[in-house]
Amino acid sequence: MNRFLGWLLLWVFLISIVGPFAWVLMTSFKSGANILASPWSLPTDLSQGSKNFSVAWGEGGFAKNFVTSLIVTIGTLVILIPVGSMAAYVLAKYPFKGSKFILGGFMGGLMFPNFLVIVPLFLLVDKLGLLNTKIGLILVYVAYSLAFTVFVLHGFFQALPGELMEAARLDGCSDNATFWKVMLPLAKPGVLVVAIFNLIGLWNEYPLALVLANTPDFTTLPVGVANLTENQQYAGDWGALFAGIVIVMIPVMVVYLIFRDQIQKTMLAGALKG
Amino acid sequence: MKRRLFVLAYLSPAVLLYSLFVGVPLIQTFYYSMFRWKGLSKKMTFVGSKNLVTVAQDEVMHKAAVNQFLLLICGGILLIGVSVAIAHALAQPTRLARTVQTVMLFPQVVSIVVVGIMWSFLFNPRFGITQTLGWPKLENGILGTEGWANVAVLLVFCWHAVGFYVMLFGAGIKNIDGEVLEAAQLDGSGGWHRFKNVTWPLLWSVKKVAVVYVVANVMGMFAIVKLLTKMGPDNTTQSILTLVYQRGWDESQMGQAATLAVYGFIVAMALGGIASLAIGRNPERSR
Repeated sequence: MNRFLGWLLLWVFLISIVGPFAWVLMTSFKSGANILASPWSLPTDLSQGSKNFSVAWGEGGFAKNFVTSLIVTIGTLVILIPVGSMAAYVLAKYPFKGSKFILGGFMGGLMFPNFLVIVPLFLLVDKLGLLNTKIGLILVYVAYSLAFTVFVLHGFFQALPGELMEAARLDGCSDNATFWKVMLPLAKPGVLVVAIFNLIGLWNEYPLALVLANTPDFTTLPVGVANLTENQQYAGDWGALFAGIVIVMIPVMVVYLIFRDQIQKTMLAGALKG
Repeated sequence: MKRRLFVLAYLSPAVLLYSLFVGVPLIQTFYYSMFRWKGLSKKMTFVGSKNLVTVAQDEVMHKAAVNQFLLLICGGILLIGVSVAIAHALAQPTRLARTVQTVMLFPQVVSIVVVGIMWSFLFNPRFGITQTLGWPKLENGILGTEGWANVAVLLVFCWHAVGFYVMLFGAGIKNIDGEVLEAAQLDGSGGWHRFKNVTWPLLWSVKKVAVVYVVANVMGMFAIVKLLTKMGPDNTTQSILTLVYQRGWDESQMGQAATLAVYGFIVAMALGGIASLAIGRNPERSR
Protein backbone atom coordinates (compact mmCIF):
# COMPACT_ATOMS: atom_id res chain seq x y z
CA MET A 1 0.00 0.00 0.00
CA ASN A 2 1.05 3.53 -0.68
CA ARG A 3 2.96 4.67 2.38
CA PHE A 4 1.25 8.02 2.78
CA LEU A 5 -2.22 6.52 2.38
CA GLY A 6 -1.41 3.91 5.01
CA TRP A 7 -0.18 6.57 7.40
CA LEU A 8 -3.29 8.67 6.83
CA LEU A 9 -5.55 5.66 7.32
CA LEU A 10 -3.92 4.80 10.64
CA TRP A 11 -4.28 8.36 11.92
CA VAL A 12 -7.96 8.51 10.95
CA PHE A 13 -8.51 5.15 12.61
CA LEU A 14 -6.62 6.12 15.75
CA ILE A 15 -8.57 9.36 16.16
CA SER A 16 -11.91 7.67 15.51
CA ILE A 17 -11.17 5.11 18.23
CA VAL A 18 -9.61 7.36 20.86
CA GLY A 19 -11.68 10.48 20.15
CA PRO A 20 -15.01 9.29 21.54
CA PHE A 21 -13.38 7.94 24.72
CA ALA A 22 -11.43 11.14 25.24
CA TRP A 23 -14.64 13.11 24.72
CA VAL A 24 -16.49 11.06 27.36
CA LEU A 25 -13.65 11.53 29.82
CA MET A 26 -13.53 15.28 29.13
CA THR A 27 -17.29 15.65 29.34
CA SER A 28 -17.42 13.93 32.72
CA PHE A 29 -15.71 17.08 34.09
CA LYS A 30 -18.37 19.45 32.76
CA SER A 31 -21.80 20.58 33.89
CA GLY A 32 -24.97 19.71 31.98
CA ALA A 33 -25.42 23.29 30.76
CA ASN A 34 -21.82 23.51 29.68
CA ILE A 35 -22.11 20.23 27.71
CA LEU A 36 -25.10 21.58 25.83
CA ALA A 37 -23.58 25.00 25.17
CA SER A 38 -20.10 23.96 24.06
CA PRO A 39 -19.91 20.18 23.68
CA TRP A 40 -16.38 20.10 22.27
CA SER A 41 -14.58 22.58 24.51
CA LEU A 42 -12.20 21.52 27.26
CA PRO A 43 -13.58 21.61 30.80
CA THR A 44 -12.80 24.93 32.47
CA ASP A 45 -13.84 24.24 36.03
CA LEU A 46 -12.28 21.01 37.28
CA SER A 47 -14.19 21.10 40.56
CA GLN A 48 -17.29 20.31 38.49
CA GLY A 49 -15.63 16.94 37.88
CA SER A 50 -15.51 15.98 41.52
CA LYS A 51 -19.11 17.14 41.85
CA ASN A 52 -20.16 14.92 38.93
CA PHE A 53 -18.36 11.92 40.30
CA SER A 54 -19.73 12.32 43.82
CA VAL A 55 -23.29 12.70 42.47
CA ALA A 56 -22.87 9.60 40.30
CA TRP A 57 -21.28 7.65 43.12
CA GLY A 58 -23.96 8.63 45.64
CA GLU A 59 -27.37 9.62 44.25
CA GLY A 60 -26.72 7.91 40.93
CA GLY A 61 -26.40 4.63 42.82
CA PHE A 62 -23.04 3.80 41.32
CA ALA A 63 -21.44 2.96 44.66
CA LYS A 64 -24.10 0.34 45.32
CA ASN A 65 -24.00 -1.02 41.78
CA PHE A 66 -20.21 -1.04 41.82
CA VAL A 67 -20.23 -3.28 44.90
CA THR A 68 -22.86 -5.56 43.36
CA SER A 69 -20.88 -5.86 40.13
CA LEU A 70 -17.70 -6.56 42.05
CA ILE A 71 -19.29 -9.28 44.22
CA VAL A 72 -21.02 -10.92 41.26
CA THR A 73 -17.90 -10.84 39.08
CA ILE A 74 -15.55 -12.16 41.77
CA GLY A 75 -18.14 -14.65 43.02
CA THR A 76 -18.58 -16.03 39.52
CA LEU A 77 -14.84 -16.39 39.00
CA VAL A 78 -14.36 -18.15 42.34
CA ILE A 79 -16.82 -20.86 41.29
CA LEU A 80 -16.13 -20.83 37.56
CA ILE A 81 -12.37 -21.29 37.58
CA PRO A 82 -12.16 -24.49 39.68
CA VAL A 83 -15.33 -26.00 38.19
CA GLY A 84 -14.27 -25.15 34.63
CA SER A 85 -10.66 -26.25 34.95
CA MET A 86 -11.58 -29.54 36.64
CA ALA A 87 -13.96 -30.37 33.80
CA ALA A 88 -11.49 -29.26 31.13
CA TYR A 89 -8.72 -31.32 32.74
CA VAL A 90 -10.74 -34.52 32.85
CA LEU A 91 -11.97 -34.03 29.28
CA ALA A 92 -8.41 -33.49 28.08
CA LYS A 93 -6.54 -36.10 30.09
CA TYR A 94 -9.04 -38.84 31.00
CA PRO A 95 -10.78 -39.55 27.71
CA PHE A 96 -13.71 -41.95 27.97
CA LYS A 97 -16.66 -42.98 25.85
CA GLY A 98 -18.73 -39.83 25.54
CA SER A 99 -16.08 -37.31 26.56
CA LYS A 100 -15.98 -35.93 23.02
CA PHE A 101 -19.73 -35.56 23.14
CA ILE A 102 -19.57 -33.59 26.40
CA LEU A 103 -16.86 -31.31 25.03
CA GLY A 104 -19.00 -30.80 21.93
CA GLY A 105 -21.91 -29.88 24.16
CA PHE A 106 -19.86 -27.17 25.83
CA MET A 107 -18.60 -25.84 22.52
CA GLY A 108 -22.12 -25.79 21.11
CA GLY A 109 -22.82 -23.06 23.63
CA LEU A 110 -20.39 -20.79 21.79
CA MET A 111 -22.41 -20.99 18.60
CA PHE A 112 -25.59 -19.09 19.43
CA PRO A 113 -26.36 -15.84 21.27
CA ASN A 114 -27.14 -16.62 24.94
CA PHE A 115 -30.05 -14.26 25.01
CA LEU A 116 -32.11 -16.56 22.78
CA VAL A 117 -32.84 -18.84 25.76
CA ILE A 118 -33.91 -15.95 27.97
CA VAL A 119 -37.61 -16.89 28.32
CA PRO A 120 -37.13 -20.33 29.91
CA LEU A 121 -34.04 -19.11 31.76
CA PHE A 122 -36.03 -16.30 33.33
CA LEU A 123 -38.80 -18.71 34.38
CA LEU A 124 -36.26 -21.17 35.79
CA VAL A 125 -34.43 -18.56 37.85
CA ASP A 126 -37.79 -17.27 39.09
CA LYS A 127 -38.94 -20.80 40.03
CA LEU A 128 -35.74 -21.31 42.00
CA GLY A 129 -36.50 -18.08 43.85
CA LEU A 130 -33.24 -16.56 42.62
CA LEU A 131 -34.57 -13.66 40.57
CA ASN A 132 -32.88 -10.39 41.57
CA THR A 133 -30.36 -12.09 43.83
CA LYS A 134 -26.59 -12.13 43.62
CA ILE A 135 -26.37 -15.90 43.88
CA GLY A 136 -28.87 -16.34 41.05
CA LEU A 137 -26.89 -14.10 38.75
CA ILE A 138 -23.64 -15.79 39.80
CA LEU A 139 -24.93 -19.30 39.00
CA VAL A 140 -26.23 -18.20 35.61
CA TYR A 141 -22.97 -16.41 34.83
CA VAL A 142 -20.93 -19.49 35.80
CA ALA A 143 -23.06 -21.66 33.50
CA TYR A 144 -22.81 -19.24 30.57
CA SER A 145 -19.06 -18.74 31.00
CA LEU A 146 -18.33 -22.48 31.09
CA ALA A 147 -18.42 -22.97 27.32
CA PHE A 148 -15.54 -20.57 26.66
CA THR A 149 -13.65 -21.52 29.83
CA VAL A 150 -13.74 -25.26 29.19
CA PHE A 151 -12.91 -24.75 25.51
CA VAL A 152 -9.75 -22.70 26.18
CA LEU A 153 -8.53 -24.65 29.21
CA HIS A 154 -9.08 -27.96 27.43
CA GLY A 155 -6.51 -26.79 24.89
CA PHE A 156 -4.06 -25.83 27.63
CA PHE A 157 -4.34 -29.14 29.49
CA GLN A 158 -4.08 -31.13 26.30
CA ALA A 159 -0.77 -29.44 25.53
CA LEU A 160 0.73 -30.54 28.88
CA PRO A 161 2.74 -33.78 28.55
CA GLY A 162 1.14 -36.89 30.05
CA GLU A 163 4.50 -38.05 31.45
CA LEU A 164 4.16 -35.46 34.19
CA MET A 165 1.01 -37.16 35.44
CA GLU A 166 2.78 -40.51 35.28
CA ALA A 167 5.71 -39.16 37.30
CA ALA A 168 3.37 -37.69 39.92
CA ARG A 169 1.55 -41.00 40.19
CA LEU A 170 4.81 -42.89 40.71
CA ASP A 171 5.63 -40.43 43.48
CA GLY A 172 2.44 -41.54 45.17
CA CYS A 173 0.12 -38.69 44.22
CA SER A 174 -3.56 -39.50 43.90
CA ASP A 175 -5.45 -38.33 40.79
CA ASN A 176 -6.79 -35.47 42.84
CA ALA A 177 -3.41 -34.39 44.20
CA THR A 178 -1.86 -34.67 40.74
CA PHE A 179 -4.36 -32.13 39.46
CA TRP A 180 -4.03 -29.58 42.26
CA LYS A 181 -0.29 -29.92 42.90
CA VAL A 182 1.15 -30.62 39.45
CA MET A 183 -1.16 -29.99 36.51
CA LEU A 184 -3.11 -26.91 37.61
CA PRO A 185 0.05 -24.96 38.55
CA LEU A 186 1.50 -25.82 35.13
CA ALA A 187 -1.62 -24.52 33.41
CA LYS A 188 -1.48 -21.27 35.38
CA PRO A 189 -0.83 -18.97 32.40
CA GLY A 190 -3.91 -20.37 30.69
CA VAL A 191 -6.01 -20.12 33.83
CA LEU A 192 -4.92 -16.51 34.30
CA VAL A 193 -5.87 -15.52 30.77
CA VAL A 194 -9.24 -17.24 31.03
CA ALA A 195 -9.87 -15.52 34.35
CA ILE A 196 -9.06 -12.09 32.89
CA PHE A 197 -11.22 -12.71 29.86
CA ASN A 198 -14.15 -13.73 32.01
CA LEU A 199 -13.49 -10.85 34.39
CA ILE A 200 -13.90 -8.33 31.58
CA GLY A 201 -16.89 -10.09 30.06
CA LEU A 202 -18.70 -10.46 33.38
CA TRP A 203 -18.04 -6.90 34.48
CA ASN A 204 -19.55 -5.67 31.21
CA GLU A 205 -22.43 -8.14 30.90
CA TYR A 206 -25.73 -6.45 30.08
CA PRO A 207 -28.63 -8.50 28.59
CA LEU A 208 -28.79 -11.29 31.20
CA ALA A 209 -28.47 -8.87 34.12
CA LEU A 210 -31.12 -6.64 32.54
CA VAL A 211 -33.64 -9.46 32.83
CA LEU A 212 -32.41 -11.41 35.86
CA ALA A 213 -31.17 -8.69 38.23
CA ASN A 214 -32.94 -5.42 37.69
CA THR A 215 -34.75 -3.67 40.51
CA PRO A 216 -34.30 -0.02 41.57
CA ASP A 217 -32.33 -1.19 44.62
CA PHE A 218 -30.34 -4.00 43.11
CA THR A 219 -28.59 -4.18 39.79
CA THR A 220 -25.16 -4.26 38.18
CA LEU A 221 -23.16 -1.30 36.88
CA PRO A 222 -23.94 -1.69 33.14
CA VAL A 223 -27.68 -2.07 33.78
CA GLY A 224 -27.57 0.80 36.26
CA VAL A 225 -25.93 3.20 33.83
CA ALA A 226 -28.25 2.12 31.01
CA ASN A 227 -31.31 2.69 33.23
CA LEU A 228 -30.00 6.10 34.20
CA THR A 229 -29.71 7.19 30.55
CA GLU A 230 -33.11 5.84 29.66
CA ASN A 231 -34.74 7.71 32.55
CA GLN A 232 -32.77 10.91 32.32
CA GLN A 233 -32.06 11.32 28.67
CA TYR A 234 -33.48 14.81 28.42
CA ALA A 235 -33.92 15.88 32.00
CA GLY A 236 -31.20 14.71 34.30
CA ASP A 237 -27.70 15.58 35.20
CA TRP A 238 -25.57 14.76 32.16
CA GLY A 239 -22.31 15.54 33.88
CA ALA A 240 -22.99 12.89 36.50
CA LEU A 241 -24.10 10.44 33.81
CA PHE A 242 -20.80 10.84 31.98
CA ALA A 243 -18.97 10.38 35.27
CA GLY A 244 -20.94 7.15 35.64
CA ILE A 245 -19.87 5.98 32.19
CA VAL A 246 -16.26 6.64 33.15
CA ILE A 247 -16.70 4.59 36.33
CA VAL A 248 -17.92 1.64 34.23
CA MET A 249 -15.21 1.82 31.58
CA ILE A 250 -12.02 2.72 33.43
CA PRO A 251 -11.51 -0.56 35.39
CA VAL A 252 -11.67 -2.74 32.27
CA MET A 253 -9.42 -0.40 30.32
CA VAL A 254 -6.79 -0.66 33.06
CA VAL A 255 -7.06 -4.46 33.22
CA TYR A 256 -6.87 -4.63 29.44
CA LEU A 257 -3.77 -2.43 29.25
CA ILE A 258 -1.98 -4.56 31.85
CA PHE A 259 -2.74 -7.87 30.13
CA ARG A 260 -2.95 -6.67 26.53
CA ASP A 261 -0.55 -9.19 24.99
CA GLN A 262 -2.08 -12.25 26.62
CA ILE A 263 -5.60 -11.06 25.81
CA GLN A 264 -4.86 -10.46 22.13
CA LYS A 265 -3.02 -13.77 21.81
CA THR A 266 -5.87 -15.73 23.39
CA MET A 267 -8.50 -14.00 21.28
CA LEU A 268 -6.59 -14.93 18.15
CA ALA A 269 -5.82 -18.48 19.23
CA GLY A 270 -9.46 -19.05 20.18
CA ALA A 271 -10.70 -17.66 16.87
CA LEU A 272 -8.24 -19.47 14.64
CA LYS A 273 -8.66 -22.80 16.40
CA GLY A 274 -12.47 -22.78 16.48
CA MET B 1 -13.35 -47.81 39.66
CA LYS B 2 -11.48 -45.15 41.56
CA ARG B 3 -10.62 -43.50 38.27
CA ARG B 4 -14.26 -43.49 37.25
CA LEU B 5 -15.26 -41.87 40.50
CA PHE B 6 -12.59 -39.23 40.01
CA VAL B 7 -13.77 -38.41 36.50
CA LEU B 8 -17.37 -38.25 37.66
CA ALA B 9 -16.54 -35.98 40.59
CA TYR B 10 -14.54 -33.59 38.42
CA LEU B 11 -17.05 -33.39 35.60
CA SER B 12 -20.38 -33.31 37.34
CA PRO B 13 -20.38 -29.75 38.77
CA ALA B 14 -19.72 -28.25 35.34
CA VAL B 15 -22.05 -30.60 33.49
CA LEU B 16 -24.87 -30.13 35.99
CA LEU B 17 -24.67 -26.32 36.00
CA TYR B 18 -24.35 -26.18 32.24
CA SER B 19 -27.27 -28.57 31.65
CA LEU B 20 -29.51 -26.84 34.15
CA PHE B 21 -28.97 -23.26 32.99
CA VAL B 22 -28.00 -23.67 29.33
CA GLY B 23 -29.08 -27.09 28.02
CA VAL B 24 -32.54 -27.34 29.53
CA PRO B 25 -33.62 -23.74 28.70
CA LEU B 26 -32.40 -24.30 25.16
CA ILE B 27 -34.82 -27.20 24.70
CA GLN B 28 -37.57 -25.50 26.69
CA THR B 29 -37.50 -22.54 24.32
CA PHE B 30 -39.02 -24.76 21.66
CA TYR B 31 -41.60 -26.13 24.11
CA TYR B 32 -42.65 -22.70 25.43
CA SER B 33 -43.05 -21.40 21.90
CA MET B 34 -46.22 -23.51 21.71
CA PHE B 35 -48.03 -21.66 24.50
CA ARG B 36 -49.68 -18.33 25.05
CA TRP B 37 -49.27 -16.70 28.43
CA LYS B 38 -48.62 -13.39 30.07
CA GLY B 39 -45.47 -12.63 32.02
CA LEU B 40 -45.21 -14.57 35.24
CA SER B 41 -48.81 -15.73 35.32
CA LYS B 42 -49.29 -19.44 35.89
CA LYS B 43 -51.96 -19.77 33.22
CA MET B 44 -50.44 -21.08 30.02
CA THR B 45 -52.69 -21.90 27.08
CA PHE B 46 -51.49 -24.44 24.56
CA VAL B 47 -51.73 -22.95 21.07
CA GLY B 48 -49.56 -25.34 19.10
CA SER B 49 -47.97 -23.84 16.04
CA LYS B 50 -50.12 -20.71 16.17
CA ASN B 51 -47.30 -18.57 17.54
CA LEU B 52 -45.07 -19.65 14.69
CA VAL B 53 -47.64 -18.30 12.23
CA THR B 54 -48.35 -15.12 14.20
CA VAL B 55 -44.67 -14.25 14.45
CA ALA B 56 -44.02 -15.13 10.82
CA GLN B 57 -46.72 -12.64 9.82
CA ASP B 58 -45.60 -9.97 12.29
CA GLU B 59 -44.54 -6.84 10.42
CA VAL B 60 -42.07 -5.80 13.10
CA MET B 61 -40.46 -9.21 12.85
CA HIS B 62 -40.10 -8.64 9.11
CA LYS B 63 -38.38 -5.34 9.80
CA ALA B 64 -36.05 -7.03 12.27
CA ALA B 65 -35.22 -9.80 9.82
CA VAL B 66 -34.50 -7.36 7.00
CA ASN B 67 -32.33 -5.24 9.32
CA GLN B 68 -30.28 -8.23 10.40
CA PHE B 69 -29.83 -9.30 6.83
CA LEU B 70 -28.75 -5.84 5.66
CA LEU B 71 -26.46 -5.47 8.66
CA LEU B 72 -24.91 -8.82 7.86
CA ILE B 73 -24.17 -7.84 4.26
CA CYS B 74 -23.21 -4.16 4.74
CA GLY B 75 -21.54 -4.72 8.09
CA GLY B 76 -19.66 -7.74 6.79
CA ILE B 77 -18.34 -5.95 3.71
CA LEU B 78 -17.48 -2.76 5.59
CA LEU B 79 -15.82 -4.55 8.50
CA ILE B 80 -13.76 -6.91 6.38
CA GLY B 81 -12.80 -4.23 3.85
CA VAL B 82 -11.74 -1.68 6.45
CA SER B 83 -9.94 -4.16 8.64
CA VAL B 84 -7.96 -5.68 5.76
CA ALA B 85 -6.82 -2.19 4.76
CA ILE B 86 -5.85 -1.26 8.31
CA ALA B 87 -4.13 -4.59 8.88
CA HIS B 88 -2.02 -3.86 5.78
CA ALA B 89 -1.13 -0.40 7.01
CA LEU B 90 -0.15 -1.90 10.37
CA ALA B 91 2.34 -4.32 8.83
CA GLN B 92 5.22 -1.82 9.18
CA PRO B 93 6.25 -1.72 12.83
CA THR B 94 6.17 2.05 13.41
CA ARG B 95 5.29 3.79 16.66
CA LEU B 96 1.96 4.85 15.22
CA ALA B 97 1.22 1.23 14.37
CA ARG B 98 2.01 0.11 17.89
CA THR B 99 -0.23 2.80 19.37
CA VAL B 100 -3.07 1.77 17.09
CA GLN B 101 -2.61 -1.88 18.06
CA THR B 102 -2.85 -0.94 21.73
CA VAL B 103 -6.06 1.06 21.53
CA MET B 104 -7.93 -0.68 18.74
CA LEU B 105 -9.59 -3.18 21.07
CA PHE B 106 -10.85 -0.49 23.49
CA PRO B 107 -14.32 -0.39 21.90
CA GLN B 108 -14.56 -4.13 22.38
CA VAL B 109 -13.30 -4.42 25.96
CA VAL B 110 -15.46 -1.67 27.43
CA SER B 111 -19.06 -2.60 28.09
CA ILE B 112 -21.27 -2.41 25.03
CA VAL B 113 -23.55 -0.30 27.23
CA VAL B 114 -20.83 2.36 27.28
CA VAL B 115 -20.56 2.17 23.49
CA GLY B 116 -24.30 2.56 22.99
CA ILE B 117 -24.71 5.48 25.38
CA MET B 118 -21.57 7.25 24.19
CA TRP B 119 -22.72 7.24 20.57
CA SER B 120 -26.28 8.18 21.44
CA PHE B 121 -24.80 11.40 22.83
CA LEU B 122 -22.38 11.89 19.93
CA PHE B 123 -25.36 11.66 17.57
CA ASN B 124 -27.54 13.85 19.77
CA PRO B 125 -29.46 16.25 17.47
CA ARG B 126 -29.02 19.22 19.83
CA PHE B 127 -25.27 19.24 20.27
CA GLY B 128 -23.82 16.13 18.62
CA ILE B 129 -21.51 15.68 15.66
CA THR B 130 -24.18 16.34 13.05
CA GLN B 131 -25.23 19.59 14.74
CA THR B 132 -21.63 20.81 14.68
CA LEU B 133 -20.97 19.69 11.12
CA GLY B 134 -24.30 21.06 9.92
CA TRP B 135 -24.76 17.87 7.92
CA PRO B 136 -26.95 15.96 7.43
CA LYS B 137 -29.70 18.47 8.16
CA LEU B 138 -32.45 16.38 9.74
CA GLU B 139 -35.22 17.64 11.96
CA ASN B 140 -35.03 14.69 14.36
CA GLY B 141 -31.34 14.01 14.03
CA ILE B 142 -29.67 10.92 12.67
CA LEU B 143 -31.09 8.62 15.32
CA GLY B 144 -34.65 9.84 14.84
CA THR B 145 -34.83 9.59 11.06
CA GLU B 146 -35.71 6.40 9.23
CA GLY B 147 -32.84 5.10 7.17
CA TRP B 148 -30.28 7.36 8.80
CA ALA B 149 -30.84 5.56 12.09
CA ASN B 150 -29.90 2.30 10.38
CA VAL B 151 -26.74 3.91 9.07
CA ALA B 152 -25.89 5.00 12.61
CA VAL B 153 -26.42 1.45 13.92
CA LEU B 154 -24.21 0.09 11.14
CA LEU B 155 -21.42 2.57 11.89
CA VAL B 156 -21.48 2.04 15.64
CA PHE B 157 -21.62 -1.73 15.17
CA CYS B 158 -18.52 -1.61 12.95
CA TRP B 159 -16.74 0.83 15.27
CA HIS B 160 -17.34 -1.55 18.15
CA ALA B 161 -16.18 -4.69 16.37
CA VAL B 162 -13.44 -3.55 13.97
CA GLY B 163 -10.43 -4.02 16.28
CA PHE B 164 -10.93 -7.75 16.49
CA TYR B 165 -11.04 -8.12 12.71
CA VAL B 166 -7.94 -5.98 12.25
CA MET B 167 -6.16 -8.30 14.66
CA LEU B 168 -7.47 -11.35 12.82
CA PHE B 169 -6.39 -10.17 9.36
CA GLY B 170 -3.11 -8.90 10.78
CA ALA B 171 -2.35 -12.44 11.93
CA GLY B 172 -3.46 -13.79 8.56
CA ILE B 173 -1.20 -11.44 6.62
CA LYS B 174 1.73 -12.26 8.89
CA ASN B 175 1.24 -15.97 8.23
CA ILE B 176 1.57 -15.60 4.47
CA ASP B 177 4.87 -16.93 3.31
CA GLY B 178 7.13 -13.95 2.50
CA GLU B 179 8.68 -15.90 -0.38
CA VAL B 180 5.34 -16.21 -2.12
CA LEU B 181 4.90 -12.44 -2.03
CA GLU B 182 8.46 -11.90 -3.23
CA ALA B 183 8.00 -14.34 -6.08
CA ALA B 184 4.86 -12.49 -7.12
CA GLN B 185 6.78 -9.22 -7.00
CA LEU B 186 9.51 -10.68 -9.21
CA ASP B 187 6.87 -11.83 -11.67
CA GLY B 188 5.80 -8.21 -11.98
CA SER B 189 2.77 -8.41 -9.73
CA GLY B 190 2.62 -5.57 -7.23
CA GLY B 191 0.25 -3.31 -5.38
CA TRP B 192 -3.42 -3.93 -5.98
CA HIS B 193 -2.77 -6.68 -8.54
CA ARG B 194 -0.70 -8.67 -6.08
CA PHE B 195 -3.21 -8.14 -3.31
CA LYS B 196 -6.10 -9.31 -5.47
CA ASN B 197 -4.37 -12.34 -6.93
CA VAL B 198 -2.06 -13.50 -4.16
CA THR B 199 -2.71 -12.03 -0.72
CA TRP B 200 -6.51 -12.07 -0.74
CA PRO B 201 -6.89 -15.72 -1.87
CA LEU B 202 -4.26 -16.80 0.65
CA LEU B 203 -6.27 -15.25 3.48
CA TRP B 204 -8.95 -17.92 2.98
CA SER B 205 -8.82 -19.45 6.45
CA VAL B 206 -8.94 -16.07 8.19
CA LYS B 207 -11.78 -14.93 5.96
CA LYS B 208 -13.74 -17.99 6.98
CA VAL B 209 -13.27 -17.19 10.67
CA ALA B 210 -14.17 -13.54 10.02
CA VAL B 211 -17.44 -14.43 8.32
CA VAL B 212 -18.44 -16.81 11.11
CA TYR B 213 -17.73 -14.05 13.65
CA VAL B 214 -19.67 -11.46 11.65
CA VAL B 215 -22.67 -13.77 11.67
CA ALA B 216 -22.32 -14.28 15.43
CA ASN B 217 -21.91 -10.53 16.07
CA VAL B 218 -24.90 -9.58 13.95
CA MET B 219 -27.14 -12.27 15.45
CA GLY B 220 -26.10 -11.13 18.92
CA MET B 221 -27.10 -7.53 18.20
CA PHE B 222 -28.90 -6.21 21.26
CA ALA B 223 -27.41 -3.46 23.41
CA ILE B 224 -26.39 -1.15 20.56
CA VAL B 225 -29.91 -1.08 19.17
CA LYS B 226 -31.56 -0.87 22.57
CA LEU B 227 -29.44 2.02 23.80
CA LEU B 228 -28.58 3.91 20.60
CA THR B 229 -31.87 4.06 18.71
CA LYS B 230 -34.25 2.34 21.17
CA MET B 231 -35.27 0.21 18.17
CA GLY B 232 -36.79 3.32 16.60
CA PRO B 233 -37.88 5.36 14.86
CA ASP B 234 -41.02 3.28 14.41
CA ASN B 235 -39.22 -0.08 14.88
CA THR B 236 -37.04 0.54 11.83
CA THR B 237 -33.82 -0.47 13.62
CA GLN B 238 -35.37 -3.46 15.42
CA SER B 239 -33.25 -6.62 15.77
CA ILE B 240 -34.34 -10.14 16.66
CA LEU B 241 -32.98 -10.08 20.20
CA THR B 242 -34.39 -6.64 21.01
CA LEU B 243 -37.75 -7.82 19.70
CA VAL B 244 -37.53 -10.90 21.96
CA TYR B 245 -37.03 -8.54 24.90
CA GLN B 246 -39.74 -6.13 23.80
CA ARG B 247 -42.37 -8.82 23.27
CA GLY B 248 -41.46 -10.71 26.43
CA TRP B 249 -40.76 -7.94 28.93
CA ASP B 250 -42.33 -4.73 27.65
CA GLU B 251 -45.48 -6.40 26.31
CA SER B 252 -45.59 -9.59 28.43
CA GLN B 253 -46.05 -11.89 25.44
CA MET B 254 -43.70 -14.62 26.65
CA GLY B 255 -44.92 -17.27 24.20
CA GLN B 256 -44.24 -14.98 21.27
CA ALA B 257 -40.85 -14.07 22.68
CA ALA B 258 -39.95 -17.77 22.84
CA THR B 259 -41.21 -18.24 19.28
CA LEU B 260 -39.03 -15.38 18.07
CA ALA B 261 -36.10 -17.06 19.78
CA VAL B 262 -36.89 -20.30 17.93
CA TYR B 263 -36.66 -18.41 14.64
CA GLY B 264 -33.46 -16.84 15.92
CA PHE B 265 -31.95 -20.28 16.56
CA ILE B 266 -32.87 -21.57 13.16
CA VAL B 267 -31.45 -18.51 11.41
CA ALA B 268 -28.26 -18.50 13.53
CA MET B 269 -27.59 -22.17 12.84
CA ALA B 270 -28.42 -21.91 9.14
CA LEU B 271 -26.30 -18.79 8.61
CA GLY B 272 -23.41 -20.21 10.60
CA GLY B 273 -23.52 -23.38 8.52
CA ILE B 274 -23.81 -21.58 5.19
CA ALA B 275 -21.07 -19.12 6.10
CA SER B 276 -18.54 -21.77 7.00
CA LEU B 277 -19.39 -23.88 3.94
CA ALA B 278 -19.55 -21.14 1.31
CA ILE B 279 -16.43 -19.21 2.19
CA GLY B 280 -12.87 -20.19 2.49
CA ARG B 281 -11.84 -23.24 0.58
CA ASN B 282 -8.12 -23.62 0.55
CA PRO B 283 -7.17 -22.23 -2.88
CA GLU B 284 -3.98 -24.24 -2.88
CA ARG B 285 -5.88 -27.44 -2.51
CA SER B 286 -8.45 -26.84 -5.22
CA ARG B 287 -5.86 -26.49 -7.96
